[in-house]
Amino acid sequence: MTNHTRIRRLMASHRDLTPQERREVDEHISTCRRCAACLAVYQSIDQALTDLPRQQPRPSLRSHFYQTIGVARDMMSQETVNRGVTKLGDLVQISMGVPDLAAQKAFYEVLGFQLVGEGVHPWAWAQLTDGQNLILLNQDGNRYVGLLYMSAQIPTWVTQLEAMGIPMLMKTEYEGQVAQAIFSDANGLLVGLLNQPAEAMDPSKRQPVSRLGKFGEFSIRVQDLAASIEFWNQLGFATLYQSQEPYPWGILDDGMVILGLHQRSDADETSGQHFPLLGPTLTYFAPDMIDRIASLKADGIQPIGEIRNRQGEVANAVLQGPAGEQIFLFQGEI
Amino acid sequence: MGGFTDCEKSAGTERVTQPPSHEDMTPMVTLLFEHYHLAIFAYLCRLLDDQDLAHDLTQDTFLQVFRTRHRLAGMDNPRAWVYRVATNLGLNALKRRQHFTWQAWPSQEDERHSADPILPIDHRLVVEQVLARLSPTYRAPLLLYCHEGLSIQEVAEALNLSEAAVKVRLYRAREKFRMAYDEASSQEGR
Repeated sequence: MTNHTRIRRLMASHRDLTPQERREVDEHISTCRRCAACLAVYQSIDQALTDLPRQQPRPSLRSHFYQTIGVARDMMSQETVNRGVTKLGDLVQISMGVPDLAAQKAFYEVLGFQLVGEGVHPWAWAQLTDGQNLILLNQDGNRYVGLLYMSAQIPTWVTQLEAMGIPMLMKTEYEGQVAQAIFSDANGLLVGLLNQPAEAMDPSKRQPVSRLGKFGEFSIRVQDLAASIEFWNQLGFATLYQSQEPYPWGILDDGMVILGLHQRSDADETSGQHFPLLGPTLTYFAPDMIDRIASLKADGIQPIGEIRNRQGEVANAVLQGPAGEQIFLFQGEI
Repeated sequence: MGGFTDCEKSAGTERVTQPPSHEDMTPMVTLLFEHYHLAIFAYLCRLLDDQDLAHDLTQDTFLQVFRTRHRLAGMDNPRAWVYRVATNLGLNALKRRQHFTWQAWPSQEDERHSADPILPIDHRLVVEQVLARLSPTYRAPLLLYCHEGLSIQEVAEALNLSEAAVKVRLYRAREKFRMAYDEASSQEGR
């Protein structure tokens, strides 16, 4: 195999190169015009295939599927089928209370988040996206990071949640209907419910756009993993993965947000083996995280924690936003 | 917009633990359906070049996932598995319909770079034409990686191949695509 062939084979999988492979490709194409042109063509193939129109199935696909598995569902215990709500809303946002909206917005914009909208009523707010999630920044003297679900069915969900024994910490009504409610899990994660129609983000269209890489999970520390999983399963979250190593943890998904539950002891938090999980944290992964972290540092984003690989390169890092929230960056593929 | 001002933390919830069971995976299947049925249908449309067949096989994909849902417990990457089921069904259907047109790859392909690329790949109709003519052996990894945005690891799981084999196949697929595109474009330009 010639060196050109080796390079082209690497370029054929150009999104999944290790930092070393990427450097090898970059060095080669800086002196080889033919391979540089080939990379441009490979990238244009990606673009052309990404841009191809996506056909939509007939509406009967969904109804037929549910009708078919509904037959099977009848054979199951109703207790299992009716364990809880199927979802909390049609759209979820990661909602933050921030004392300085302008500074917070500027921070996320440097991280490559895109501004979706902003306003001043009922208080100053800005909505940004990393391509996979919506982040809602609310000007607020109280700092918090929580989840905010939106749907025109919130009153129904609130009734069902209360029937399940989940108390609302706050509930406001408008014209006799629940307009907004807030509850919390056992670990203090705040979940807001806003009675407002919202259109779901198409999961197949979600693509990372920020400089942080691919969103991994919205991570929270929990006291009791099994109890937390049971709690979130009742709220429409499916368990995607769980493990006991290096400590009990699991990943859950409700089709809108990936929730990472981490049962860490105080000893785990201070062991130096992991970044301390001080509050709800956004976690990102990228195979080329070393380069991404270096680039962020060059732009003045200084991590508050770093882990170096054997070559001494910063492969994992923790960023802290102006409101004190944390963002974990890990080298790796998900 | 909603905020969380003046909230207090709630009391703890009662601990209830249950072992995973076959039934427990049903919500996961419906979640996978809601999450991926549009993507799987779009993928199968391109793989099969036949919307009616894609419709039927999308249905079959999720029914197969439902029938074997016990396997979802502890699975690292359910998305790759759904694509694997869809790909197997798609390739089998193509075999049955004798749509396979295996194209022998030149034995010296690794050393050869005939007609280096010059054309930008941007003519949609030609792209669709070339894609439809590509052998499914190459069309599947190209679609999974470029159209569906799967990682190499996920494509490997979906095609039941090693990651190294996927990388080689992807390279050959790109070269096949590039040469067929150049040829189709030059014919169109005549």
